[in-house]
Amino acid sequence: MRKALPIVLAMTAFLLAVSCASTPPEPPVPLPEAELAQAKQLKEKADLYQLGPLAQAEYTAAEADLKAGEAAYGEDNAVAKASLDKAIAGYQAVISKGGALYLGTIGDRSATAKKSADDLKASVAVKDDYTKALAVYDRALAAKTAGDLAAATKDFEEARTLFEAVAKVAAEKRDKALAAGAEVDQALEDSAAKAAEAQAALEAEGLGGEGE
Amino acid sequence: MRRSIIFIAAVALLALAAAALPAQSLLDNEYYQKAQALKAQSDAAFAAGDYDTATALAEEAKAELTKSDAYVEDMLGRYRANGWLQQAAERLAEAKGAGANEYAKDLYDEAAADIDLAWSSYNGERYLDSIDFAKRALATLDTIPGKPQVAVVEPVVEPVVEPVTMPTESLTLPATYTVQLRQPLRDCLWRIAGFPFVYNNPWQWKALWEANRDILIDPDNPDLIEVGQVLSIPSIAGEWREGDYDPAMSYPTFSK
Repeated sequence: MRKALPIVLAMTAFLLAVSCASTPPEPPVPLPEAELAQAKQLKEKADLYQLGPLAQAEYTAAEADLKAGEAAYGEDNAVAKASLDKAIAGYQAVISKGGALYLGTIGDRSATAKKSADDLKASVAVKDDYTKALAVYDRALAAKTAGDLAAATKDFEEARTLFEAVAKVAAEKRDKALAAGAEVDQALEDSAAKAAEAQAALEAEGLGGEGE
Repeated sequence: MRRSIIFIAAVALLALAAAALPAQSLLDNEYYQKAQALKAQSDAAFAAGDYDTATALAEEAKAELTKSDAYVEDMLGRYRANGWLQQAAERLAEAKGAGANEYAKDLYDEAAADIDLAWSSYNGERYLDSIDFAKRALATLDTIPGKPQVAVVEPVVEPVVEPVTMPTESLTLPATYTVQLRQPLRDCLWRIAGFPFVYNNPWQWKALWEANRDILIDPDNPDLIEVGQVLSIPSIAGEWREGDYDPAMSYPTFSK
């Protein structure tokens, strides 16, 4: 019996070893290439519009997740994928929150340029160019509403440039008209003075004049 | 005799002309008024933001003011020339009354010739020349000595007073026309516009209509004018007009 025990144990160990060796290996986690590309694309967009400062917490976290994902990429793809998924969500939050603030800022700049043009009555003074600027501005507002950051940014900037140009022309025309008006006021005074002088001279000479 | 009549007529005409000088301020001229209206329009355009129009109207106003200044200058010359001419003509008449045309014939004729030139310059609107000629005539008249005394006492003869003849010729066109009852062709704006002293062109009847709408029985019916109505004859080509039309006078023919 005592002799049989080591044999039994050896058999058991053997069986256990055989049993373990036959378990099928787990499939390897693929490289999260798509996740990495998307995260980088979103980061590029956030950086292009400098949205980081407008959503600092989200941006910092997304940056950390991207770094972690890149570090684990190819070594522990499961960890890499999880980090990259978090980075994608983080950058999307940055774009969503920061983009709205960004568009609000450049939209305000365009609105300010528009107000300057309106104050100068540019819609009348430089009608055609003002109409073009307004069309671009309206397009920018529509793009902003649609959340199209790229289109809204481009159109807001273009509208601002157009409104500033329109306001400049309107201001020049206004200044010219003001000067012309002032010259007429002066000329009216001068002519009145000349006529009064002539009138006085005639009356002094006993010739014609008022009341005769 | 003929020259006497001309001078007396000239004096009377000048007196009439002096009396007919417009009783209005020199500033109250169409150019100044138009300039004021244009300035008001310019201000309105400016307020609306139509700066280009505002500038253009202001420039027009300035151009009208230049015309106003020229008008005032012209009227000043005209009044002055009129005054000097009147003075010279009166002095000439006095000299003639004193017999200077007999005893100082050369000087008298010289003065008379200068007054003729002054008159001609006045009609040609060369007022400075007119004033110069009138002044020269006065200077000549100043050199005429008093009538020489004669030894023989002659019977006192009452000076023959030349009858004052109303001028038969006007140098300016009339500014108004009183509608008359004419037969067989009745007065109408068409015929009135055709009168040589009006516009010498019946097609200009609309100018009369526009100027007199407010006194017509029916402002929209230019055919209804009444005998006795005094129609304004507006200047349509910058011509000078004054006084009412007098059938006893002859007038120059209007031409543009």
